[in-house]
Amino acid sequence: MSEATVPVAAPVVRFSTTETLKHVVLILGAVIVLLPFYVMVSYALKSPAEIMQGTGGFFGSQEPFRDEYCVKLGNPADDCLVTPIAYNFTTAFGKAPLLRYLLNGVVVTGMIFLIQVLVALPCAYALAKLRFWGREAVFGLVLFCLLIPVHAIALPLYIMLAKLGLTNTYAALVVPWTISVFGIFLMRQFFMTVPDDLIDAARMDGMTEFSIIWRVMLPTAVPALMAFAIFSVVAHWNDYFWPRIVITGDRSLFTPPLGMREFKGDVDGDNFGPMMATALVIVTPLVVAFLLAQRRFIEGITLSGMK
Amino acid sequence: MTEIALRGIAKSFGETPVLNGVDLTVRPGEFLTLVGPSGCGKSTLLRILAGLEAADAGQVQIGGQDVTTVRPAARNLAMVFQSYALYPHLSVADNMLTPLKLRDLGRVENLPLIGPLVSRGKRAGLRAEVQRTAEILKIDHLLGRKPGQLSGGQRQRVALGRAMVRQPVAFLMDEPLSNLDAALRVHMRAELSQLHRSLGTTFIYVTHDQAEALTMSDRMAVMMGGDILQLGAPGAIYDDPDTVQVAGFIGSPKINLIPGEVDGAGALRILGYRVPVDMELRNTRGPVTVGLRPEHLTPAANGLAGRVVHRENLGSDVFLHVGVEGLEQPLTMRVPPAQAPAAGAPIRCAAKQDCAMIFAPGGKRLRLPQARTAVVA
Repeated sequence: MSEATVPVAAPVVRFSTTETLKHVVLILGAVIVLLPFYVMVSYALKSPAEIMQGTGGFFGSQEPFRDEYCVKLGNPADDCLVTPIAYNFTTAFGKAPLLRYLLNGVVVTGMIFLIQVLVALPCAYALAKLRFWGREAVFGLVLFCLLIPVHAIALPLYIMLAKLGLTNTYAALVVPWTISVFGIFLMRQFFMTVPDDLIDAARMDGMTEFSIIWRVMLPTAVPALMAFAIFSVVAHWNDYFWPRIVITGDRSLFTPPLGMREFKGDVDGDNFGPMMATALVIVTPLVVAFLLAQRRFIEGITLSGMK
Repeated sequence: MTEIALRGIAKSFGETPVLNGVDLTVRPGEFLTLVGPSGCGKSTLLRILAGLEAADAGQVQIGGQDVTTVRPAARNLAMVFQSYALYPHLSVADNMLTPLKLRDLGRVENLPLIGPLVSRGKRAGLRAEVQRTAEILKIDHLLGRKPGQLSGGQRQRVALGRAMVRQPVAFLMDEPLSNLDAALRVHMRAELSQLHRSLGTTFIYVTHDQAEALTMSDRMAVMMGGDILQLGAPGAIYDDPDTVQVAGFIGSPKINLIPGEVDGAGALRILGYRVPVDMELRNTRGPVTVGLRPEHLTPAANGLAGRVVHRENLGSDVFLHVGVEGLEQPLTMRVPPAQAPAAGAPIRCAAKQDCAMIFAPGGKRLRLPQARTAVVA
């Protein structure tokens, strides 16, 4: 961590108080953000005893230990010796159908993003490029909706879905998020920077307004869409609150964060190792995706400087 | 060959009138330029003709048919934009192919994936068309590139190519050269004129640059404040402007517009100096504006006395800015380099015989030749 920020490779290392101070603050911030991550990864590697006693450093000793649950099931004690890593991850995938949860997560976030794009692009195009009566008022409403917190409307939404008999379905997970005012706002801001000439040229070429959206605006808006994709996918992949409300009975509809509940304190106590292994499995796809799309992501949020 | 006519086109944006009932007939095959200062409504007029903007009143006719409510694409006009407006995500070939695909392929044939399978033969034909146009414009080696990898001049050509492949009734060009550097602009002027001659199609060209209008057009329409002030051949407008606004806009350096007066004897005078005009201004008395182009002034033994305040040497000519006491603006005059005095030198400027243009206080031209024939008759 600290190696990365100290300018070791610089040809001349000059001491500067302000630079040092800046880096100290940045390092402190990074530590605060990364510490829970560190704990998560470490716990996913260690045995329950090491977790409870706080020993074993980052990796733990990785000495095989006896799985008491396995012994309770009546297996010979020698067969129940396991290494901590294997134990944590096999329990994560074995005790809960984690793959199923991951699949649910992919389906739900994918559907949400797809429908959000289908709705947001035409809306943003109309708000940015078409002149119609009441456009500013509609845009004002979009801005207003940005201010409504999700939790404030959760109850009415739930009642609505319940009355329609949609709780415990994929629809309950997807439908409330299909209209993203944030997406509309972000894409509208991007479309404002697209020159009008380009749209006029498309009209002269014979495109309809809808083909302009999908064949001209969509391809030019890829960086902005990437940024929006990251916001949308991260938010809904990690969402615990809403799935927890609308998915009550059917475990086969659990999204990955709900899978964490499988390891919460039961009679035999909290089982942190497998729980953190689950957490690690859940966050890895996002971290990998972010690293791959990092450049695009930064491009996306700095759109304002683009012309 | 199709005639294009605009009848009584009016347009306002909110409270601001932009066009006040413009009438214009474009002859088949001509190069017509709409020229005027920014905000005069020339681009709006072009966009109304293209169908991108709806007129509040009036009619657009192409080939005698009323197309006022027809969609832009169905008017079969092609437009070249100032920013070229190429699709940034498509290659040059695909950019040029797009208008053809949209015009010649059906709904199903234009679908992604399935389309190319069902319309292979047609697509090959369209591609050949693109190739031919690209060869005419000498951009066939660029067909695989994206617009982002092209220089300004190359993008300009691609935009022209995209317009040309459709073989439109007319080309509409909205300041297509203003994003190019000066040298390339002069070069493209010549090239556009050549292209116009070889295609024989109508060109309607919008510009604020009077040099472009003068050099390229068959006819030009000078627009100001939402009206066409004068329509005619470039030479005729330069030599014989109808109003003081047109005289002031066309010509570079600008025409000298000097407050003068017609005295009791009918002689034209500026600060007492008698401007040689071979006519009697019978019916006019009082203040007028005298227009003298830089080439109409010459150093002479007697004339308006002044001092050279600035000297611009263009190599072939020298433009002198002469400060004359009693006049607000310095006079600009063109002299051969051999006769040009140094900056700061005293000089007397005289007008050449019968060159002065006289404008009434409202800006209307008082025509000398007509006045003279009237006298003879």
